[in-house]
Amino acid sequence: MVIKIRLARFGRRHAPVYNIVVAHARSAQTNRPIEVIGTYNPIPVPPADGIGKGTKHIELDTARAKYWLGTGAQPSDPAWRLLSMLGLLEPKWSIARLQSKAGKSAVKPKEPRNVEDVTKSIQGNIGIGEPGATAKEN
Amino acid sequence: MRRKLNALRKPQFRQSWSKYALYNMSRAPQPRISSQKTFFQQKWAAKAEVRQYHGEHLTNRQWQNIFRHTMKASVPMQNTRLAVDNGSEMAMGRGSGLQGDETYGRVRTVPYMSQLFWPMERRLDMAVHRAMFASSARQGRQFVVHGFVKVNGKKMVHPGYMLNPGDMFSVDQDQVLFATGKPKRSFKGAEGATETAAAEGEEKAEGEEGKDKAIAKEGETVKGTETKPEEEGAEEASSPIVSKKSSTEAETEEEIKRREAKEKLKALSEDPNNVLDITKPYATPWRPRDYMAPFAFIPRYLEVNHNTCHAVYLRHPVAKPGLAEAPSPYPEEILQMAFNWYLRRR
Amino acid sequence: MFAWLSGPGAVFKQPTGEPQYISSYDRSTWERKDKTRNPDAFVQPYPFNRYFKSQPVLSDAFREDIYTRVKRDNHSIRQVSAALNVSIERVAAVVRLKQVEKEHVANGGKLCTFLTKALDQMLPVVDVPTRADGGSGSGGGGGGPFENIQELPIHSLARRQVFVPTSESREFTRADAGKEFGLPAADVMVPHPDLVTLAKERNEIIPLEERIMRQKERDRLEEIRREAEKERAAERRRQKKVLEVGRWKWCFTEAETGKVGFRYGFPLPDRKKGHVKIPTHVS
Repeated sequence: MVIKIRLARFGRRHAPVYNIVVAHARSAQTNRPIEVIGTYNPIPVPPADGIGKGTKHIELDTARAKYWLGTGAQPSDPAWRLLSMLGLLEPKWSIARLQSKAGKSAVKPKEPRNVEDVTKSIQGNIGIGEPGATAKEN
Repeated sequence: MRRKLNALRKPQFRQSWSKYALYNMSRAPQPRISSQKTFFQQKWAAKAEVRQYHGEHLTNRQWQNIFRHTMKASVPMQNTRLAVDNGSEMAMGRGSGLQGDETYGRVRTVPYMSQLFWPMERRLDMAVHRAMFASSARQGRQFVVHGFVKVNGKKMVHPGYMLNPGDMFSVDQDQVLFATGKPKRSFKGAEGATETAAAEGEEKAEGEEGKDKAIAKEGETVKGTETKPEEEGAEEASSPIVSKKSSTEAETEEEIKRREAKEKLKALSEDPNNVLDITKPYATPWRPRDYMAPFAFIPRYLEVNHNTCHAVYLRHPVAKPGLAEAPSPYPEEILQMAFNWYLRRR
Repeated sequence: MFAWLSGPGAVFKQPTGEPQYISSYDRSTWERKDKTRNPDAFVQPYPFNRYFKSQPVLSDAFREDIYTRVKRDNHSIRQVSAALNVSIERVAAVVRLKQVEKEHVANGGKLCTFLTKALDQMLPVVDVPTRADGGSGSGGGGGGPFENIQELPIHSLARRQVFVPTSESREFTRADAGKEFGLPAADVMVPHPDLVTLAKERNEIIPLEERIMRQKERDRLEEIRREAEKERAAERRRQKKVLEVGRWKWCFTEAETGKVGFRYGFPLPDRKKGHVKIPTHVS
């Protein structure tokens, strides 16, 4: 059976906290997993001085995470996001990864938008006062 | 909510700086518990008595939950003594130290029982009051509940938060000035506060100085004494006894001290930070409220900076030989009886 | 009541430059007691509790002095504590409070200096010691040091009574007593054990140079210990990895499988009756 790295929800209503677990794909969220390798708190701790970004805390056993990835465990999307942030995986939709999967010709990197176009569209929006109108024209 | 906090019929101690509390404290009889009663009744009476002051706004259950039967204490050690001997002399003789050694003979008792309410002093609202940021425990509680109090830089709205050693708490400056300052009477009064305050202070200074003079040299007519004829009589009756034998030097020294204090109080309004501002909820320029001095003390377990209205809870209150740090108006015997009540072995 | 307030109670209305407690007046005649005969009455805020005393507080100048010693002269808190006879935790607190004050001023905040001045008129205040050995100046505190810095808090292990039979010929010392309670000797447990060592060396008639040498050696060891501690703290900080991605900062901490996470089969009893819901600490 497929082994997945995924999140298991704990905590109360409106106060979720997750275990990062390694479990069989078809076991329920509340089941006892194969292994708990970390936790993830999605509720950001506000900055001490009230300025800047809040902090989300993640605890992870990196060595075990690497081991399970090596055995072919498949991370779920949220787990993939967290692991890729640590550099254990490529981001799921990164160009490099997609190109390596489907071949170089299949995936074209998106052209960076022309700066002039952007400014024009913004000005157009301001002039008309209806967002999206100019975008359609373009 | 209790309606009559400072009823005059039966004087009670209250954790507040009001003049009613002061008057009640001035005439309250020595708290005593009749030995005619049964032990249970004595404990009950003592408990009822001490709860008039300590956490009067809390339910009994709230206090019983934080009650601890263990008291904190500390022993003052001396470098020289620690260096000279190794402690074996404490067990010499018959096992309780050398006989006839004066320094060891008079060991002052450690008033453990006076420490009964030390967990109460850990409460945030009590600490706010003890740091002289609020004029009563109830006001301290209000400041916490209304969100004016921060602990370690974070807003803490639970008055029952138990401070830990090293916690820094702070209260909004305006609220502290409101609690410790004179009340604002009216818009008009606040506007002309500088003139009236100065005039009032001068008048009072004259009056009181005159009173002192009257004690020293009788028969001088002064402005202030006309308003209080009965007091004048009392002063006259008592003055011969006081002033005759007391040395003139001490008298003048005290006079000088009082005059200096008055000048310093007047100088408060010249402080650059103490400005006239009618939007404030207290009389500006700020002056200390009346009848505050007899309640003014800051216990040693707090370190307070009134410049910014921040304070640090250094450690738990401790008992030392001859000294209990937890403030309480009750004698040790009463507190001991109350302690026995809370032990729940009744 | 108002007769009393305008009569004998009038002295309490405004601060008089020194503590004015009810106990310093006779309760029947309302005459001021003799300060030389019963000095205790002048520091006792509550007339019936003779064990609670209003102890002097540090003056603003004293606090400033402590702050400059620690911050500008770069003395350790322990040194300042020993020099000024102010307990270690109080020195640390004063430095913290002064730091807050400086930051407050730097951010354009106003200070209630007038409040401090007014309270100085009501409280017993200790001013900066004039001599180097820490004897405090005049004020409510009298001539002695501000507080005893060698105060030994009674450890909870030492609260019980123990019956230890020993032979009469044997010396039962502080170290023995400590061992019975499972604690080190009181000489080590006091806040300033180095001061005890200094006093011992003074008694042993060791030449001054030798004493200075030994003290320097001890200071060096202390410095090494502090460095190591700092390094450990830095290591702990290095364990944490903070990334800024998108809207949030993400703080990754290294964990160990088996110890991390919520455990299965163990309910979270935080909604149970009797559970403390008020936070017990604020970090």
